[in-house]
Amino acid sequence: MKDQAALAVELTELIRENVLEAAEELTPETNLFDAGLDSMAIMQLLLVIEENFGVMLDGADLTRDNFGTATDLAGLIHERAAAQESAGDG
Amino acid sequence: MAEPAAPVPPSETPRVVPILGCDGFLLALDSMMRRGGQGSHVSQTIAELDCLPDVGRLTRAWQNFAQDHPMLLARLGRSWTTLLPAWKVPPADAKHRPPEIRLWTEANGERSLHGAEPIDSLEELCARLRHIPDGKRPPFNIRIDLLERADGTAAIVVTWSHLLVDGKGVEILLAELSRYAGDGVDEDAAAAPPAAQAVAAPKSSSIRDKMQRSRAFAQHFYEMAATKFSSMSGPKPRPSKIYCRVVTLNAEDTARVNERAAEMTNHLVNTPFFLACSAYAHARAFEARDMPAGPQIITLPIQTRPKGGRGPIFQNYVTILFFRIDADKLESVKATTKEVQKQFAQMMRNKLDTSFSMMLDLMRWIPPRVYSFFLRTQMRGEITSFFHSYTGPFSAGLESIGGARVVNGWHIPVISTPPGSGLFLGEHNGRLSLSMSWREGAITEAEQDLLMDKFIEGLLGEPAREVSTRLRY
Repeated sequence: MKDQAALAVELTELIRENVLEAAEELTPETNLFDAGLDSMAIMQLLLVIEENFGVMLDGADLTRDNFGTATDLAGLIHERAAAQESAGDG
Repeated sequence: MAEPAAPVPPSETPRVVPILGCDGFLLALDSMMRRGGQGSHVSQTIAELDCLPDVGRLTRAWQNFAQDHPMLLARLGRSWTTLLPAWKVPPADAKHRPPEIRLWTEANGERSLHGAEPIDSLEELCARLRHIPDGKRPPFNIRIDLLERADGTAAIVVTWSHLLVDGKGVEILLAELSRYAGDGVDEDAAAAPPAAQAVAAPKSSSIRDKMQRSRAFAQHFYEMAATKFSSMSGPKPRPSKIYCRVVTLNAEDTARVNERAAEMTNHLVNTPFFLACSAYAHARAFEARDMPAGPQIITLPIQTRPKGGRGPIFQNYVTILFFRIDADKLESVKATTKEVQKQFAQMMRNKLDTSFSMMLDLMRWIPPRVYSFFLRTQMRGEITSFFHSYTGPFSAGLESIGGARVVNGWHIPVISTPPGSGLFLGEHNGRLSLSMSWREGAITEAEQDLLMDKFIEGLLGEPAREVSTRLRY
């Protein structure tokens, strides 16, 4: 998997294309809730993450801290992907 | 799906605006309601203010807005180029009498509002405005009234045709009104951007592609339609008046509801929990009639406005998810929430929201009367067990209008018979507002109390009577 910074950039682009398509300016540090992230958008985002990174987030991961910015989210995805990989190795 | 094309500034609104997919669905519902003697599909939105706004500023803002948005005077017809029902929009420079803001004062108030007509209460005003016969409505599709309350506060009542606009659109309209009145929305008025576009045309896509993409929903719909379910009113449309009750929770109870939602789902997606509480309340009401609690078929409207922007204002940007909840999953809020969450995730995975949008898009050509006949025969006369929606934060970013602070806001959704009842939620400044709409004759007074009590009990996890002292009716 890419490093966290590259992942954040890719994730930002995916969010712009699939989730917050009307947001004027979106960077890895943009607050996603201020940019319009709501319940439905989060559901769409979960699918985007699963389809593009093969990572399934669970209910406990869905917090404002984890979804605050694309950078925060990239950190979470990185962590979960590593955990899934090591579980697979084990 | 009604994906928007390039932004259309208000002054460049096209003269003919074809209906969108969800507009067609609402036209069919409106046709059923009119023919059943239930009046046209008119809903209301209330913005509570901490004091009287500057009436002159507010009136000028509304008139300037109307001048820039000729959709307010549009009439439904049929486009001869597309053969679709379409809004015929008058030219932007057409001469018309500017819209008024009618002034009202609660009869027991001090009546500082010059020229205001006395009225007993906000409830009385809303009921009177909802029941104005179609022929006596002003030419504008949206009407604004201002009420001076006896306690010195005020309320703006927006009465709107659901054929032209949806609840979120009205919230954006209020934010625009605030901007036109010079209040600013979330920044200085001069710098605040206008709503992105007034109307948007559906993105073109081939009929074949739409049919292909609507197939998943069609399969899902036939599974739902095979379910024998009931509504509170039963399947027969009946002439009836509409009623509504609104409860606003205080901040402390709202925080408790959100905490309970997070325990049952997660901290960010509370829609399944809210829908489950509505289903739980209806299950108890069915049981009180010695009817089975389920299965229930529930429709959940989902916004399709492009996220991250403010707009469009006009037309209905909604798709619908259909849930089937069996009786054994309706015994507790926890069990119902789990089931709703499971189905919600599955429907999103199967992209049923987009698939239904495609279906709605294809059905736009069907005449409303045939459309409603088709819908109702598929479900043995019923449409859904009840109506429900969660509209989220009310007009996010709206702080004040005409110099008065917005302290609360909610919608009064006008529903049809069938199903005869609906439970709805919205939020403003950390307080949830719960609305219950029902049709005359669909539920008894005892059932009204039971539905609202069980709704609150589901949300807070404790009997409603114990928290009733903290509620404001």
